[in-house]
Amino acid sequence: MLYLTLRNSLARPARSILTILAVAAILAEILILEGFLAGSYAQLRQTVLHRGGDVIVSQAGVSNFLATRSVLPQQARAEVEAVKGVKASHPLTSLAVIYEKNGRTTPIIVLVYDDAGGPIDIISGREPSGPREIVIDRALAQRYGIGVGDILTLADFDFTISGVSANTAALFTPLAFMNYDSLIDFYFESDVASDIATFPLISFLSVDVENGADPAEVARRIAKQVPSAGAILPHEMASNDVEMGRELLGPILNLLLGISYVIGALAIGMFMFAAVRAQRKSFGVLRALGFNTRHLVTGVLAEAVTTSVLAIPLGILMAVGLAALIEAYAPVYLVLATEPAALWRTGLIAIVLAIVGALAPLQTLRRLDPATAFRG
Amino acid sequence: MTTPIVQASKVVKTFGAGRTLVRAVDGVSLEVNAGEMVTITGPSGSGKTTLVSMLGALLRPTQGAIVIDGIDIASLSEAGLSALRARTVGFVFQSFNLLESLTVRENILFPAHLAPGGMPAAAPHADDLLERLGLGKRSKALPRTLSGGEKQRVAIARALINKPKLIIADEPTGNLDSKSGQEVLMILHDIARDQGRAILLVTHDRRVEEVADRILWLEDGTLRDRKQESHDWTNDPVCNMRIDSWASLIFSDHEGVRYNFCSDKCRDRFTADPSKYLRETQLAEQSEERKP
Amino acid sequence: MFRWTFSELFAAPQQLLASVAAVAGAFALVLFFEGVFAGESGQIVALIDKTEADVWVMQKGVGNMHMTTSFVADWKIDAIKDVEGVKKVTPILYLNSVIEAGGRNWLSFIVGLEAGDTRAGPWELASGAAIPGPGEAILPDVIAADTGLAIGDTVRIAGREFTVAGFSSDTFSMANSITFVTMEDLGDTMSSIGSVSYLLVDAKPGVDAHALAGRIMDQVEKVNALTRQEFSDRDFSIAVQMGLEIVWMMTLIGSALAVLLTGFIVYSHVSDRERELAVMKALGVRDWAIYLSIMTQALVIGLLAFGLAVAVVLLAIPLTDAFAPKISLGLTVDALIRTGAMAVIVSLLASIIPVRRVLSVDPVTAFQQ
Repeated sequence: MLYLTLRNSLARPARSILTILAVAAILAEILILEGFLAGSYAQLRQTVLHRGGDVIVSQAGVSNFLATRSVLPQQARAEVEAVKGVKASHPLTSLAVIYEKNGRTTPIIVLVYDDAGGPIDIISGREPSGPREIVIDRALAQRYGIGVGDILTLADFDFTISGVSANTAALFTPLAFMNYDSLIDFYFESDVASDIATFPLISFLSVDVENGADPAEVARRIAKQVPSAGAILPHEMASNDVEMGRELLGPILNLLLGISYVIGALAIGMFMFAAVRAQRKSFGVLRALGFNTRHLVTGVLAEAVTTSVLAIPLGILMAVGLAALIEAYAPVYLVLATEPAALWRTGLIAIVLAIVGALAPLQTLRRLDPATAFRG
Repeated sequence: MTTPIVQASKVVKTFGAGRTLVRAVDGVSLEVNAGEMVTITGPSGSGKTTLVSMLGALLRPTQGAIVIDGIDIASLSEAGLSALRARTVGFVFQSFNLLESLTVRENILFPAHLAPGGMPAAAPHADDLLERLGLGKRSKALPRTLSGGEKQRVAIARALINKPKLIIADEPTGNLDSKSGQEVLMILHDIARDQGRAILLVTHDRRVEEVADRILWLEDGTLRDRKQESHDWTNDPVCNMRIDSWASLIFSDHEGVRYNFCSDKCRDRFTADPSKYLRETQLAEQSEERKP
Repeated sequence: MFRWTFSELFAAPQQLLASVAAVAGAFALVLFFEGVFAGESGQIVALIDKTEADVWVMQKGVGNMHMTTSFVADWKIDAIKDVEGVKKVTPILYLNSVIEAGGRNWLSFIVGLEAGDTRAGPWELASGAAIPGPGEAILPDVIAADTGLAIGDTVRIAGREFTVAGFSSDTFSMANSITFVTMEDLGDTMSSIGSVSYLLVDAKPGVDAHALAGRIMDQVEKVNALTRQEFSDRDFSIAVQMGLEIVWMMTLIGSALAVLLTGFIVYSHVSDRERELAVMKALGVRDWAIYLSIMTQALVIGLLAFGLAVAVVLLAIPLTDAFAPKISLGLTVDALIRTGAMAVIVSLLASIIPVRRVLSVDPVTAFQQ
């Protein structure tokens, strides 16, 4: 039956190609959603991990990096550096600002850094070296058509864009980077802070431990010795942010994935229905020749599974293409369309959908009258 | 005494219910033995297809019994019927019904999938059939490139691949030109005679009368046996169409003589004014007699 | 011809149903994606909309609540009270942060209320206290339903432990739930002594909110004042814009999917009915008339699918509220118009797929067996 199925598919190339294309498009869509989820988690993870350091010190009780407020007292840095095993600490400040231009508003997370924790992937220009210089994520640059040398106005304060970075966006929000010289000017000269006392000067400290020291042990010591601070390993903080992302995006994306699976099953069901209808006469002849419903169902199943199997690589290719398109036009989103786990899962789902879809015309096959073979 | 391959006793098949009930086959009994070629003929809508569908284990009768190769089909499930067909019955259809995507050889071999040993075991037989039916050079061709006669020979080869005891052919010459039709009938005849298979043929083709062992006439669901030689040709007095008075059911008696008609319309015209048509008939007969 | 179009389309109702459902799925995906963003965006402005203050006052240069920090010195409260037309001023402290509740992390708007204040507090209570006392927090009821969190349990907000005193309704969203604590407690964690974040201003009867906002900005230095509508619109639009590109991308993907599915259906209708089309051509029906009929079939499928998708989403809104309260779904007129237009475009594009097949049907085949 498999052989007949394959030959039948080859005998109707346009229909077969259309079917494979449509199933591939559904798989691509599923892979894009999976990739969107995986990409969002990866962005959250890299936002923490790209800051470097062996331990991250935050306000006591704060264990997330993004979408939270952490304020460390100024003296905390000296206190942390006094802890045994700490080699150096690098301050980081995170502040959310809204960028508005041409009627379009975009929230930005500005990361202020000193000698570590800046952007690690600058695709044009350079790191900010002087005051009033800023590095922006390429998503922001692209959204507003701005680049190196252009002016970026935040809260009535003009920055010069010194560089554009990649892999610096998370939670649909582009990051921007400036140094502390700029921060002080920004606080004093802009409207961003009505009272300097209310604004955080240090949010986090990225801590390097001495050679041979255990970062987990150093983190415990910091938390114990500096009461205003909490200390956590970067990968733990990254995991916390990913967990937050999972709470935020998981239910919605899973709902959309669920809808996609239903579409997939319906579409494959429809294809198989149409295939059975188109071959009703052939199936009638087969029934007359002595093939029973089980044989015919096997044939339809073989066709559905073959279609899915052929659609999988095409779907992956489409997903890669679409992910590249999204990256080109809206780099604030990262779509990791070829995560092995998602690929395996989607491949498996494609087969399951094919099996479910192949059951759609079961009733038609069962009711098929072998006597139709006598009709001209 | 030989055991019949197919045995039908008082078979009734009805469709619908209540006021829409149709008795497609009404109390038919028949036996077909090995090596016998039996033709069923009759007007359109007489129930021929329904009858052969039952005799080929495609349909179960509403009443009566059909025994194929010793098995009462009423006792079989759908799957059992399929298995019986695969093993015992070969079909040849008017519209060939070849699988368009498969080559000639693949089409012939396809039912062997259901036989013990499968396609590999049947391959030599398929090649033999290809040669015997003159299809050796067309074995890799696709059905759409074949002539009607070739298609029907492929269908016959396919029907024979599992060496069935019974072959049912439904109007096998219906879509063929006269030469190909003759060829097909002779092939079927040879299969019955040389291979001892029972052949049940539904056809309107008059040439079959020359080769068939028995001819059965089915009309309004009932079957009448008829000897091959028992024709009684006459002419419709209205339209002058040649009619077998043995088989005709439309007739009218006038002055002690029975006249047969091709249709109710001709009969009505005749009964309205018999003398008009009888005069014409006499004139025609006289002119016929005057010819040297 | 049109009779044929429709009878042919409805000849295999199960297949038509599967087709329409599959295409509807593609449209529903787009509507859901948009709906989720609209629902979330709607929830982001819940505090602004539900507290129904006439004017919101914030730090100068700030025009949003979402992903923003605003500080206004507390002495300005009295200055605003003195502005003509002001009936009442209610300050809140506000922090956008992560809370740990029921063993999980949730993004939340944390609102610090003045002791005993009911003006800016929860607008609908599910259980427990309506006003948080010192060390107490009022959380969204969805978190309780989702994690089994109960009154009296401990949660961590901005690194500090709080006791759950009550649960509010209509305050949950994936991106921003609303948690209420006292201003004093929140001020401690934010080290914002002497400052508040936003001021909710109620106007005296008959006072125009827009004019009042203008007067506040004129008379009180370094503040921004927006009417509730302006403030809500700005935050709504910022949230929507965050998802703008991805919504467009999903619309594109969903449309491509719908084109392929609809295309397949009309293609298979044409190839299954090739003989009938040959007969029609033999009878003198022109190619364009046949093509128009195919296009009509595609349009019918597209519009039926669109209708079904809208029905599914409309049905899903109360269903997600009941069974998946974490998901806020919204359906905007804008999304409806866009998806409806997409359905028409999809149908027209899809009907191009079988054109070659229609043109290649040879009327002579009508005479062949």
